[in-house]
Amino acid sequence: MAYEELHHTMHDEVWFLDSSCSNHMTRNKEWFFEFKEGLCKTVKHGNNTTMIVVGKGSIRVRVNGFTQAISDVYFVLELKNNLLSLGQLQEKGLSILIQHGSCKIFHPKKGLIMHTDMKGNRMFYVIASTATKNLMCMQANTTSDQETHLWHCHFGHLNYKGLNTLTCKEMVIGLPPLKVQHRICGTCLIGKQQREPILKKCLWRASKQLQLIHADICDPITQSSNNNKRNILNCIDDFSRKTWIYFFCKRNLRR
Amino acid sequence: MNQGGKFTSLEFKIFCSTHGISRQLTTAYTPQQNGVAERKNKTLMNIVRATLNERQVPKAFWPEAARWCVHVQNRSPTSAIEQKTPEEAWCGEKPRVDYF
Repeated sequence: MAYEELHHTMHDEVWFLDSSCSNHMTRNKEWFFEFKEGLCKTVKHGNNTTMIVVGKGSIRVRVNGFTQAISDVYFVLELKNNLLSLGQLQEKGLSILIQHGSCKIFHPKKGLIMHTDMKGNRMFYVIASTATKNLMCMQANTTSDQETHLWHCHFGHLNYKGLNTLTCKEMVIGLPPLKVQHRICGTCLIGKQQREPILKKCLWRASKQLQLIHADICDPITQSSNNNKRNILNCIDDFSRKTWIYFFCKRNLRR
Repeated sequence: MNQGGKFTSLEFKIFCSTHGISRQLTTAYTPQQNGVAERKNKTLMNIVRATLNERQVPKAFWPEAARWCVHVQNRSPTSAIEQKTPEEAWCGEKPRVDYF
């Protein structure tokens, strides 16, 4: 069992790469984004002591600047250090190369995802901060809601996703990292409104029969009828909404 | 009524004036102004297409289908008038539909 005295604040973020441990383990419950309790399991250590596995779940960590999701991690309360099982990593299809004093972990598609150098006492470990913690800290650094909105206006009401792209991909200089915005910009909505809404109720309705007749001739129908009719004239009484239709051959009402 | 030669014939004009009917013509190429009639047209033709298609009736029979559609539409509820079908609003009697 690996153990090393480290500075206390860093302690929680250190993950030992261990080839002799059977499963990933951590003692920090806050790291789990998915967690299932009640796993009746124990883990045995080199000195024959056992520890109870409280639960199992998945965690998300940031290693070397990339966010990695690690599944099947045991939650062990009595654990002193976080352990990353090399065997388990290998089962996920990752390749582990320990050579020339450094350990590299490769993903079959993404390539190198983790690397660490051998530490003083021939140990390999990675510093992994939780992704959630990281997000929170990023948010603290970002600008206020108001400033974000101002930038949104500066860019001619560019959507927040677009602003985010600009910052993330470093496409412009001088744009501060902006906060994720959920505020709805009223001006944008007005800008999208092309016309006044159509009234559901019309302003004037006929008060008796035949006072107003709506009439329309529909466009010639491609398939003429058995009687060679191609047009419909429809008349709708505004008061009762009764409809009549008449058929005729062509627009012979022309002036 | 819309512009564009449909309702602008001289005969019709004379007929209207002698029978005391005032015409309201819409601006040419703005069917929006004739919403009620255009919308009815659309509903009608939708039903015609649906019914002809369902029974695989040749398309040439569209006027028959249209006739029937109008008959049914006049006996169907409409948002424009409440509690009545157009037929009842027109003649004041509840229409029978048992022969459908």
